Amino acid sequence: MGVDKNPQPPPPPPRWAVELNNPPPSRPKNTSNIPDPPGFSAQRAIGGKQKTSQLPARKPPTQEETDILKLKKSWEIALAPGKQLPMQLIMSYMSGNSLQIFSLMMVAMLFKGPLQAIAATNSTFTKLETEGNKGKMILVKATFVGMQCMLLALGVWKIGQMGLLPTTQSDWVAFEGERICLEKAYFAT
Amino acid sequence: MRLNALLSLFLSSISSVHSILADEAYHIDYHHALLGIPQAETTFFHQPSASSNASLLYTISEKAIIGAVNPKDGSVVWRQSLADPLPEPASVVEEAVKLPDEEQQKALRSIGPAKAGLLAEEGSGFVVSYYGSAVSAWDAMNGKLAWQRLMPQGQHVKSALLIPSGRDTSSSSAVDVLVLHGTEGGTVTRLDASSGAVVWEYEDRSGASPRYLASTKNSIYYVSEQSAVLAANSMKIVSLDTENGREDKGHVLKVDEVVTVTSCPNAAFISGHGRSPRSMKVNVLGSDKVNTLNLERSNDGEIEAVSILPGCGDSSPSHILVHVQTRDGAWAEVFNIDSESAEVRKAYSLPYLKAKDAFAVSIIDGKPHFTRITDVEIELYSFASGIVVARWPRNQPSFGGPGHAQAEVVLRGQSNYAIRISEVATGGEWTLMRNGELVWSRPEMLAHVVAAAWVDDVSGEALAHELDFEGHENPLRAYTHRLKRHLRDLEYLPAWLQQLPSSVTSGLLTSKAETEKGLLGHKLLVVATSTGQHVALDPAKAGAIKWKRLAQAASDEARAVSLYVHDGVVTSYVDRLGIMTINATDGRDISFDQSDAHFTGVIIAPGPVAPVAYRISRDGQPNTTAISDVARDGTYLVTRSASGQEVQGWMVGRSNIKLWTFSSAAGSRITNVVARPAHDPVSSIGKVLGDRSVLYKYLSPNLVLITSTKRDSFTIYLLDSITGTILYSATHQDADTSSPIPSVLSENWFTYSFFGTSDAKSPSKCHQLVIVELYESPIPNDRGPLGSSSANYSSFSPGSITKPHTITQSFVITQPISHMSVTQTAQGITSRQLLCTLPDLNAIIAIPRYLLDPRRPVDRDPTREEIEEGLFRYSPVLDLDPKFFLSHSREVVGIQKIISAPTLLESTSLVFGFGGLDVFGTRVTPSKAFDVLGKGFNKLALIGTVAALGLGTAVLAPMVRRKAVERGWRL
Repeated sequence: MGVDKNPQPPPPPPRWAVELNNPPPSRPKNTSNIPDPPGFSAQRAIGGKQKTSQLPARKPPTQEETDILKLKKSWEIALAPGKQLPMQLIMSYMSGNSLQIFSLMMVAMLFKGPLQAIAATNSTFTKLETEGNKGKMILVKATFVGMQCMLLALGVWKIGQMGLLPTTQSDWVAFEGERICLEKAYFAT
Repeated sequence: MRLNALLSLFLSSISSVHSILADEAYHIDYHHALLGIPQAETTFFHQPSASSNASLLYTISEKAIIGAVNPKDGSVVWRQSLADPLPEPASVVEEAVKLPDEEQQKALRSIGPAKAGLLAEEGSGFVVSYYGSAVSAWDAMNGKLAWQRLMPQGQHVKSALLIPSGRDTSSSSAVDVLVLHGTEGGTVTRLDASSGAVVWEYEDRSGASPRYLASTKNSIYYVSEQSAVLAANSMKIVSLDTENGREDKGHVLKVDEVVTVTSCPNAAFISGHGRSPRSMKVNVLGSDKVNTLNLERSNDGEIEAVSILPGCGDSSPSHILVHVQTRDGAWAEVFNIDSESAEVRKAYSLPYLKAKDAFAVSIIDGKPHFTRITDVEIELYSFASGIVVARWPRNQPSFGGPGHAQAEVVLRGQSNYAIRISEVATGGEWTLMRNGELVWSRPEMLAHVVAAAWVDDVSGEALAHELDFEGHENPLRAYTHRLKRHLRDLEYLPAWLQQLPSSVTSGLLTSKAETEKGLLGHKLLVVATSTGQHVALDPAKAGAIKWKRLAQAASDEARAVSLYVHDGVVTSYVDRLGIMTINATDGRDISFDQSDAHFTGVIIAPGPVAPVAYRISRDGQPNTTAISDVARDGTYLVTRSASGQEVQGWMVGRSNIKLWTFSSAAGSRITNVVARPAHDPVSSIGKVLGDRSVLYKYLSPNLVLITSTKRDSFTIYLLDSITGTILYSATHQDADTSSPIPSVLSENWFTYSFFGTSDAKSPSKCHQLVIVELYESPIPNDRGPLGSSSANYSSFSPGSITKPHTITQSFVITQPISHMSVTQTAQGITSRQLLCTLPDLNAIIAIPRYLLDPRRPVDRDPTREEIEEGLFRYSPVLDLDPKFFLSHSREVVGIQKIISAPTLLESTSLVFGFGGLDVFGTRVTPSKAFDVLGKGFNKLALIGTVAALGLGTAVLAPMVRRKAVERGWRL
């Protein structure tokens, strides 16, 4: 049953702990005109939580305001593909019209992206859609789809440039039948 | 169709020249280098050089080809043509038409046909030939011409002999050549055989027509026939001095119709007999005595033919063997000729045999030995008594019976004979037998091929019919039909499984060539000769003969006109003989119809039940065998009269109506009539231009191209053969119309070649190749006046015959072309090649079609779009690239016709050339072999890789599984 013969006093708390719990020492008078560094408030530092709760509470936005906000946001999303358009145009122009793996991949992406986006139009806007802005959202969605279609059109133009669209007579000549003469002549073998 | 069009587009973009690779040459092609059927008097064994004992077989054939054949293997050591150009084969157009006027014909008749002869003397190192009006000496070893002497124009050499020169042999040759030529009153010329210089000349001014020369050791005899007015069948015999050619003495002798003159060192004699002889008259030249020899035997039938074989040994008396043939059999009589008393005595007879036979004489130790060759055995008779001293059984009968033969007999020891026989069978096959065993055979009858046809393998046709049925039924019925078919096929499964291992191993081990044979299909080639033989060649086995048939009762006049193959049966139409049907697989006769055997051509047209054969009579009228046997209504025929000067269009059916006639204008002759090949599929109806627009092709199956020549110009007419409308014509002035103007028509284009001026201003002439392409309209994307509808149309409806838009270009070529043809493939997807015979180079070439594109830009570089189209700048001279030569280093002589056939592989086309002398076959891949794995494909590497991968998987799979399990427990 050992009892400590000479129990040592507990070590003093570290300085930072002391400073945290005690308010900073009052400033000397001659320094009282020096402003605190931005973001430091002597009262707050002392007062802690009690002080903040005393600040006036922010007024929650009204339903209308959120609707407007959401609509703004959705317009931003809807017009985003349009901003891609010039870049894609330059890329398609630069990649050339020969049938190569890169130009083909680019064309594939040009088709894949817009088609996927169009398919996912509703899910893109679900978070931003509310009861109030439902009517206006239709226009937004239409714009979004329109923008994607412009990208698609770019893709079509690109494959047209590559000569992959059956737009010339030569593409259909194989489907044209030979004119058959009803009479047939036979010659000596 | 759609796929075809795409593919053909792709293939036409392959524009690199395909050539024969070194490892393909001599493997994919085959060539029978022929001499023609050797003639009896001009074929013999001869030692070309005194230093060696080895002898060669020398011959002049019916085709007037002189050549030497190695008796060891039957290969040609050398050959030369005596007639230049080669004698024309009998063609459909009658001979009389070929000769312009009667005077020339008369002149030709008085000269008589060119006679050929071949002379050789042991140890002289050369052989001397005569043909027509030329006497030539050839180096016996290599066939180089030593000298040639031409007799005056219009004087054919009648006979020639070699006589000892009697001069110092160190400076000149040991022999001289004695030549008889002339028409009315002959001239005998003695030529120095080493140089061809004239030693002396003797001229007969009596006006008798010269016939023969004969010589003995001491004298020369000149035999001429007195004119029939003075005394029929009487011969004047004049003996000449060998030294100076002066006339010694002469006498007139009356002999029979058929006369032979034979020279031996000891005695020369003349013999004659009637047409159906019972006896024979023989006179030893130099005496007046005529010996009559009785040839008749009892009960052996009437004598049909008699031939004389001289057995000239060094010793006296000389022997002659008279070979007597009756309808069923033959025998021989041997006579001794006593040169002193000029008497001919019978020595012995050789027994009658009820078989066809041939005799040959060979000299052993200066004594003649007679050899008798039948289909069964070879007998060698003792010279003294006529007893058989040696006998060899034959292991193979000759083709059509023995014709004539030459023998070389060697006596080893006392009675051990060895014999080598060169035999020319009646069927035209030239064989060599050593002691009765066949050493080699040369199919010389192939030099007379006039018609050829491909025989398809019929075994796959049943399946094709079933697939066709399934393709045309409704899906459900087709499905059940297919199910039933597969169930039926199950019965072959065990057998297939059994042979599976062996087929796998053999598939690994077989060479590429064998696999290709399987891919190409088993096509046979049946050819008919002008002499009545039908021969089947196997193109897959280097043109080896599969079977051969001799026509029954073939006559010299009979001429195969056309061959037609249907369902494995070959129907051969032989003018003046009849219609033969032969089983294509084994060559057995099926039937022989001799009724109404006069026709110049045959046209096969579809009938309501089976195809109907229309025979074309001399005036161009088509007839069928039976009235009821008619073609479907609306069948049209294009015929050509026997003279060739009229082309007629007919509508046949229940009644035959002549619709149009195209006759040559006054002073011009129709020389060539060609139509599109019967099998000429077109994969795309238009030509795609660089800007992706389409020029529509003018495609009509009824086009016919007619060449009509005048003295120095010719005109090409393109006709619609239903209505006879002329669609296109072009006239070339200042052209050489005596040389052939070959032409070919295929798809929507035709080409022709001629020798003439290239433009009116310059007088210089060149060989030209002209290509004409036909289009519906000059405007792209326009289907012409008939509009864009692809509906059927009738040639008779108004406005349906429209003239094509033509684009033409001509090229200068460095060689004349004598015949043209075009490659054919199964679906016409592969681009075509123009097959041409170059007679001057003895070669066959294939010119790629893309070179002959008339849309090639002239005098400017092609635009980008034109480059895309595959066009390149026009250059007037078309170089015949050595890569075009299908015959590569072979000398293919006298090809007059080239035919082509598709194979199972779309890329490949079979080619066969024949007609004048040689036959040559190969296969071509105009767009490269795009549907076959190339040589770079390594089957073993592929299988090895798959096996290694399989092995690796098998090893790694348990390890991976264990690892996965362990990983599962660890968590």
